Amino acid sequence: MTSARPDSAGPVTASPPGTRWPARAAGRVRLPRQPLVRNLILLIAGAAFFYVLTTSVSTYNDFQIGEIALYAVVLAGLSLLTGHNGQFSLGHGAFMIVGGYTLALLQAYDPMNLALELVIATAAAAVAGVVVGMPAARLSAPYLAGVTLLLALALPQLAAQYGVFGGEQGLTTTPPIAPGSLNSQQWLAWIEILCALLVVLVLSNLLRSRFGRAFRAVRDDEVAAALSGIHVARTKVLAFSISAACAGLGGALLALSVGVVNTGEFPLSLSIALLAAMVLGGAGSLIGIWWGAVALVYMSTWATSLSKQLALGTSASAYLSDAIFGAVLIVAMLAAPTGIQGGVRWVLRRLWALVIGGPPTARAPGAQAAGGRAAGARASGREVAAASANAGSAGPAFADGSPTMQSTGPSRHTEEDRA
Amino acid sequence: MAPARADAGAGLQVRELTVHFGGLTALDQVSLDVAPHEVVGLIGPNGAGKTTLFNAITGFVRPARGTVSWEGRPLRRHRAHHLGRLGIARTLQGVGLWPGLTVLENVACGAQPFLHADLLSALTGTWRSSREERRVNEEAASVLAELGVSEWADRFPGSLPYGVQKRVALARALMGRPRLLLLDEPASGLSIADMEELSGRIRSLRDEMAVLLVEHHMDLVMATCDRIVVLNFGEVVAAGTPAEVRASPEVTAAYLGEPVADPVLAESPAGSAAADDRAPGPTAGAAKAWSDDVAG
Repeated sequence: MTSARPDSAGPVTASPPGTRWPARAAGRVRLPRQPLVRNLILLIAGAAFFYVLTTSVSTYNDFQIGEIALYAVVLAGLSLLTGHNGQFSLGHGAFMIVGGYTLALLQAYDPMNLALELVIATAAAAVAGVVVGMPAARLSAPYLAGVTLLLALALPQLAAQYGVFGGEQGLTTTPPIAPGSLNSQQWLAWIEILCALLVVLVLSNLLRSRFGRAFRAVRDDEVAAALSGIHVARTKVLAFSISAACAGLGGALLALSVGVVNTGEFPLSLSIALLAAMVLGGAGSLIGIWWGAVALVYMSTWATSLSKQLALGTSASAYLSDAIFGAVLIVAMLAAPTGIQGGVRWVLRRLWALVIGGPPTARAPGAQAAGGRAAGARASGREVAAASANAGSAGPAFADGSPTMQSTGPSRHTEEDRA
Repeated sequence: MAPARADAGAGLQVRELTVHFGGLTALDQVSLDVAPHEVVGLIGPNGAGKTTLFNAITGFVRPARGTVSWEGRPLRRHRAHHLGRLGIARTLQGVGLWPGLTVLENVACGAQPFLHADLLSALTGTWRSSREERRVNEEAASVLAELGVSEWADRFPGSLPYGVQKRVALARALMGRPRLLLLDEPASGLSIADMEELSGRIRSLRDEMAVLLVEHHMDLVMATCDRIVVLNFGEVVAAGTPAEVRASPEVTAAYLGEPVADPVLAESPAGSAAADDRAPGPTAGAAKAWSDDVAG
C-alpha cells in the first residue's frame, strides 16, 4: 500500500482556495447532509409544533411556553460552553443581566425595532463574554467556576448602585405590540419561541463547522489541539462569548416577558439553577436543553401547588422548589448520567434495536464481527481483519488465526513466514 | 541510500540548542539537520532529551540558547498552533487523539489551520462553511482509506485497537500535508506486522516530506532512517548513517553503559536491539514477544 498522494505535490498554502481540497476517488466518502437545508426543515417543524401548542392552550400557559423558550436560549449557550468546550460557568445570570439591562436602556433612551434591540442586547452580552472569557481562557475549571460565581454575585450589586440602572427597582420594558387582534401574550411567546429556534439552528450549524470541531478538540486535549493549528485561548474565548451572547438574548427576552428588569430577577440561585438544568437535560445536547428549560419553568410551579396542598408555611414553600429540583437532579443523574437526553437516546436505541431485531448500530464492535460472519462470502478481507482485531482474539472462522490487525493480507503472510 | 543533503536554508536546522529546566540542562548545544525528503532518526536512552528537542522545535519549550530554523527562516517566538501553516506536523507520544471526537473528526481536525470559513457562514450553515466541511470530510475519509482504517471513521478512538489509533493519529498529522513530520515513538505498542508496515510507510512518505523520528525500536530505526542522531544526557553523542551509528562505540556506551555494564539495562529490549547489528529486520525473539501483543 503506498501512501503517495497524487495531488499533494505543492505546499497547501500555495494553492488557490478553490483547489485546496480536491475531491479524490479513493476511500469511502461520507457526504454530510447539507446543514442549511436540514436545519431549516427542523426549524419549520419546530415552529409548526409550537404554533399548534400555543394556539391550543390558555394564555397563562402561553406565558410559560415563552419562558421555556427563553430559558432554552440561555441553556443552549451554556450547553455549548460546557458540553462542547469543557468550560464551566456558574455566572450566566450575569450575562442575562447584561442583555436585560441593555434592552431596557435601549427602550428607555432610544426605542427602535424590537429585533434590532434584541440583536444589540445579544451583542452587548457577547462583548461582556469576551471580556470575562479572556482571563477565563487561562483558568482551569475550579478557578473558572470561582470567577464566574463572583461575577454572578457582583454584577447585580453593581447594577443596583447606579441610578442609570434604576437602582433596586430596576427599569421597565415595553412589551411588543401584537399585530392585529392577536393576543399579546401569545405574540410574545411566539417571539421567544422564534428566538429559541433560531438560536438552536445557529448553534447546531456552528457545532458542525470547523469552530465546533475546534471547541471539542480543545475540550478533550489542549496540547493536541494546539498541534493541529487550533489557537486554544482564542477558541475558548469564542465559545465563552457565544455562550454569553445566548444568555444575553435570554436575559433580554426575560426582561420583555416580565415587563421589568431589576437585580432581584437574576439572583445567584438562577445561575446555579441554569447550570443544573443544563446538566439535567444533557450537557452538549441541543435537544436536551428543552428538558432542562421545562424543568426550570415547571418545577417551581409544581412546587408551589404542592406546598399549597401540603399547607406548608411560606418559608418552607420557598425552599421546596429548590429541594425538589435538587432531588430531581440527583435521581436523574443516577438514572441517566448523561442527562435526560442521554437517557432518551439510550431508550430510543433500545426500542430501535427491538424493532429492527438486531444490534442498535452496525458499528458496534460485536456487531461488526457478527455481521462479517453472517455475511460470509460477502465480507471483505478488511472487514474480517477488523472483526478479528475487535474481537481481541482470532475466532475459528479465520484460518490463519493471526491476532495482528494488518489489513494488507499478503504482507502479513510474509511477515509470519519470516518470524 | 541517503538523498543528497540539501543546501543550507532548506529543511530543518537546529543549531546549538540549549534548554534548561531549573538547574537541569535537558539539551546542551544540540545541533542537527533534517534535509527535505530525508528520514532522520533521533535515538537515545530514556531522559536523553529527545522529547524535549521535539518540544523545543514545536514551540512548547523555549530554548535558553540556540536556534531552530525551518526553510531558511528562524523560528523564534513560534507557538504550537503556528506549525500547521509552517508545514510542520507532529504526532504525540501515545496517540493523543481526542476521545470525544469521532475518528473522522479527529482526522479532519488535522486540516484545521487551512480552513477559512468565517464565523457568520458557520453560524448560518451557508455554502462557504458547509462546502469546506464537505471537502475536509472527504479528504479525511480518503486519508483514512490510504492508511487502511476507513471502516472506523464513525467510531470514537477509545474503543479501537491501539494500532488503529496510531494510524488515526498519523492520518491526522498527514491531513495538513506537512513538509516536515515529527513522529514521537510511532511504533510503541504496535504489533510486529504493523511496525513493518509503518517502516514502509515512513519510507514512502519521504517522497513528500522530511521525517524526524523518535523511536526506541532500533530495528525500525535502522531499517527506516537515512541518518541517525544519538542523544545522551542532552548531548549529541553520535550522528551518521545507520551503519556508522551501529558501529559507534559511543552509542554502545550510551545504551549499554561503560564496560562494567548494568545487567538490567543490557537486558532491556532497546539495548539488545541496538547491540544486535546483524539483523536489520525484527529478530525471532522480538517477533515472538510482539506476536503476543495483540494490537488493542
